[in-house]
Amino acid sequence: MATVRAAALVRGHGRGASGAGDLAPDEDAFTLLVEAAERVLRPEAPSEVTAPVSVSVWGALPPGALEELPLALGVTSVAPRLEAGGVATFAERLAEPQPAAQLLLAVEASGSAAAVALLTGPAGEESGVEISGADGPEVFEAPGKWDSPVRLAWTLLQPPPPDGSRAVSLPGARLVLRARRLGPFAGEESWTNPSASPEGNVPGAVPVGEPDLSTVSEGAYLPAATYRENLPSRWRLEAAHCRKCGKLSFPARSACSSCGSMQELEPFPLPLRGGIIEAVTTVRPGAQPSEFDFQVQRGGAYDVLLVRLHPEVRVTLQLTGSGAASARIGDRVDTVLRRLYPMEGAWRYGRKAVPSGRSPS
Amino acid sequence: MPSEQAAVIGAGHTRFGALAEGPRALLRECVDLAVTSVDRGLERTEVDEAYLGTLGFNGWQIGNASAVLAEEARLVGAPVTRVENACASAGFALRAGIQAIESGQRSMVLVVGLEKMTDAASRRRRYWLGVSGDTEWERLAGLTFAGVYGLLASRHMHEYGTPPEALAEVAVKNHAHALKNPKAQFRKAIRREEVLAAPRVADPLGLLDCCPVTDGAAALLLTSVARARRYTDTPVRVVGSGAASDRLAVQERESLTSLAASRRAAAEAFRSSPWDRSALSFAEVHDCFTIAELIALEDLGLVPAGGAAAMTLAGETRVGGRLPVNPDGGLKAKGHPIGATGASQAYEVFLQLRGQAGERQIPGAARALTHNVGGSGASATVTLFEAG
Repeated sequence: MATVRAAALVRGHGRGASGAGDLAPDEDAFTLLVEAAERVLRPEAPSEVTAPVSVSVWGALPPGALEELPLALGVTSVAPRLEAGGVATFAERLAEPQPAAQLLLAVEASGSAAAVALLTGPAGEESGVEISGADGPEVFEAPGKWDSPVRLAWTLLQPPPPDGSRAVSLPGARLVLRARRLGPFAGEESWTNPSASPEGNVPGAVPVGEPDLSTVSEGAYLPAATYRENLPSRWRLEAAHCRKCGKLSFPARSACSSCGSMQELEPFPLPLRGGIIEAVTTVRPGAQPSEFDFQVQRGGAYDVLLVRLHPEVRVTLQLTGSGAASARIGDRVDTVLRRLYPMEGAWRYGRKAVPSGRSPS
Repeated sequence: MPSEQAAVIGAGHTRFGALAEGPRALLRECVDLAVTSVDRGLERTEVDEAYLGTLGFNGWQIGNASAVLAEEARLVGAPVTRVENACASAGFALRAGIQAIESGQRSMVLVVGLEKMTDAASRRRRYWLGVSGDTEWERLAGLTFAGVYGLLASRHMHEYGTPPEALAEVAVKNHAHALKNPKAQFRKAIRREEVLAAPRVADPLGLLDCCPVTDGAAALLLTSVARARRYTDTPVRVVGSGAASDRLAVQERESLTSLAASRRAAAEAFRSSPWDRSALSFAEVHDCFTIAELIALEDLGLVPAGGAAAMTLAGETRVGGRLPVNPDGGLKAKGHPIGATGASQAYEVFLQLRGQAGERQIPGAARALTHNVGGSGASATVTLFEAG
């Protein structure tokens, strides 16, 4: 038995062959998973943050992404486990007693794409959704319906029917999951947005297509070691706070950008949401650096912004989606992890901006 | 105070444009032209130091390009140093030459700026066009320099109400000036409506707001004022020289509407000058994009912040106006071979202050300024010149 205290569902933001929910050119399973997890780990009110003691992942991730996940989420004390067994083991985990906070992540990105993040805790909470499991008859009423953890989670966390609880029977598993609504849970809004439903996924729909990474490396060169050195700034917008002079440096470097002190710097997480646009340009096809050729071929022009995230920090961020100079100086934006550019045969990731308060899907 | 004052006694300049000549031929030509421009002649053996400003576009001879200048200038044996500060490479090479003379350590210095940009495939060229900004945070967020200056333009418009017409007027004026410069890349008048209607590159900048890709080279010969009279009756004296740096990435700078490196360089140059801005006959400023000329006018103190648009729209910066700016056509119309531009600006000063600028001569030109910016303002030089 477990209580889901916070949950988020994120779908691909592209518009491909299968309609809404496809991956956009700058998305993949890793970015979807991180976007969902950030919604439960870093909600608007920082006091709600609970550090999970374990992170479990269902679904296929790009090479190396599982190892990168703790850094992307800022949960570096936990090694995430990739779970085998698909929806059956996901259901069993939900039915098990859970002594402490766990982060359960699941993604499906083979056709159109969706990811869910569930932050669970022990039973006996006052809010959230309590999930319990019991042996039951093998029921085959909807074969194929629960073929992914994403769809199972989506169904369990739907607003309950009038009798107050929801039950799902898993074919082959002799397991019935019951969800009982204790009260609202963080991230609930992504379950009440009809367009967020992953049930409309078209299995095997043509994805956006991938470039041949071995052919796209001609461009500016940022060695992998240098890229990795700056990941806390690049992925989580982590600045450095100088205890000597009190100023912030961004990106965080080995010395304070104001006073030069190297001894008294401490990580300072910048807000990931609510930045203010100070300058905007639309980069038209042909004016992009060659590293962005793939993106421009698929998505056309894009906007780049200078965003004020803190009185002492502004950052250069690309806006997701196709640019149409739709962003305006003074508008607010949030940030999300996205693919930026391919180099050395792999995608590099970083944060991009999205209009503030955009619905989850 | 320097023990000597520097003076320019000779200058040479290739045509600017998409040229058939390679980098070696361009170096040879501009140096030969500079040597033959010395009124009473010069033996090359008198040159005791040389500086080459070049980015090394397309990866051409990234290391030791200085040795190629030594060969083509027939100076093998003399010390030659390559100076690289992106688009301000030749401005900083000129500064090094001035300092070598002012210190009394050298008696005759050759300063050359060079870039060969049109000989590579466009994909490779797009790589090189963005290598001088911040790589990790600007370029790899999707920006080349057009995008960076597009951001600055959007902010300038937002803070000062700078209209698109003022940007367009910079291009119109500089194209009109280039009509009278036989060495300019574009000798074609354009209308304001054409600039405004041109395809967008990085909003609010369009194709005609951007300088072109250019091949070319320029050379200067510097000696001390005391020695200059042996070579010419009309040297061009260097009366002020300033340079400065700034943070590489725009996101880390204080202002989005002003380049601190330009402001600092101008302040240093005018500190040692016997005259101030009001005495200028004209200015050569770094107009890699139209917005850059407006920002330069404000940073150099030629107009208060936010006033460059009105000054430009009133025609004050045209030849014939109160303070002509870029009489040679500027980077916009004369062309911008990255490492050559700082030397090319000083070449125009050399002609104007000696009354040799032909059709575009500014009557009575006696005092001038050159302003050379690296990238989006990570480096800048300002140099002040006076006739005689």
